[in-house]
Amino acid sequence: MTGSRRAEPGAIVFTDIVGFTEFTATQGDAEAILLLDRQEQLVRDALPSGARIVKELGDGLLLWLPEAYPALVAGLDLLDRFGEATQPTALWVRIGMHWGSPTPRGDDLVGHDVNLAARIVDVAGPGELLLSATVRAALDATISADVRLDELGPVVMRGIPEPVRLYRASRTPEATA
Amino acid sequence: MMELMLGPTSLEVDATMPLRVATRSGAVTITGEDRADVLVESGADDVTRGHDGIDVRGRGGALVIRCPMGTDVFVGCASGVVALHGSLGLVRVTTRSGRITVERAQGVDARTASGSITVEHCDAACRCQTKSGRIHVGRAESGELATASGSVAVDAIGAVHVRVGSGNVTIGLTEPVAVQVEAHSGSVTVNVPGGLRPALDLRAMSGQVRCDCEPGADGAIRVMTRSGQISVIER
Repeated sequence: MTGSRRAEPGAIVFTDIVGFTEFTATQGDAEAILLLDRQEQLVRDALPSGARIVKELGDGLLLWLPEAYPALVAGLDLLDRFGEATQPTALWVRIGMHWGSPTPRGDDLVGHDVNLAARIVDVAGPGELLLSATVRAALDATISADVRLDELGPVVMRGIPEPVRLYRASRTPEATA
Repeated sequence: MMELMLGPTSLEVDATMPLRVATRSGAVTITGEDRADVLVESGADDVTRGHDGIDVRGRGGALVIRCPMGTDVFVGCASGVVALHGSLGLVRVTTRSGRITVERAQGVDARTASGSITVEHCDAACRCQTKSGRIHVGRAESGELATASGSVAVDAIGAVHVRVGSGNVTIGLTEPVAVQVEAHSGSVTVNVPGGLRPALDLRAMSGQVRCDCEPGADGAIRVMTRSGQISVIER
């Protein structure tokens, strides 16, 4: 027994700026820091009540959101806003989301569910939000017609013993029109 | 401990039943053909019929599967070549390292961390992502293609959105469509049919822009690069 206490179930979300290393190399540290500040502000603006930024991870963030559907909407909003905010040559953020009960460690969150969420963002492409089947299950009753989930099937991820079924979330064409 | 491998296993299915395949390593070969069953020829250590499809598990070695034409196929593997032959339905492939080839599918989502992706024919939306590898699409109705470092070549496509970190992009158009390319570094070439007059928005922050076409309203070509040449060439 470790005596650790798991948090209530919620959405564990990782964000990552695609191409940040190259951006920093070509644009310089000062521009890169401005970009990180912009990302953090956009995330704060998109987060619903009860959610929080757990920590910064270089060019990414670890977020915690207590409800599944608001977490999904916030993620999709962030994708839109980040692309708009970095015009004319858009930079892209990508997002991985898992639903689980991580273990608090001070202000941090740790545990298998956090590790899994970190692996999911590795699979996401530029401007994408991927989520696990546990998020899909938590969304079941609340998902609206504005959001589309496309199954990607079983995904084998480094350090995760079993394949994890992932879904790609996007707004429907009607919602983006 | 010795791994037990299943011998050839056949399951009767209808064409609407998706096939999900997961394996740690080894090549995966799936062929969509004129048949009424899913035949797992080799490489599986577990084959089950779930409530929402056929699940095939492998731990290593080559997985060889035959299924009805039009079957939706989902493949996840850590490393190894994934080759999908014949005619399939929706195809979703995710691999950490390994080449992906798709002969013909109704729709494609293919992603690999390090490996090339080749899609010969996609009847609808074709989404390909690789971190370091080449993407080649023969023909697709539409596409979303992204690579961090690798080239993108498309022979003939409808509306397409390409995102590239560093690598060259070549797109062939056959009709007026919407083309959007965002590239950090690398040259971008769009070949358009003679006489086409697309709306043009070509911006290279550092790099030359060459355009053979007169601007018009035959579709739209929007290309933005941080560093790299942009060429729109009339064939």
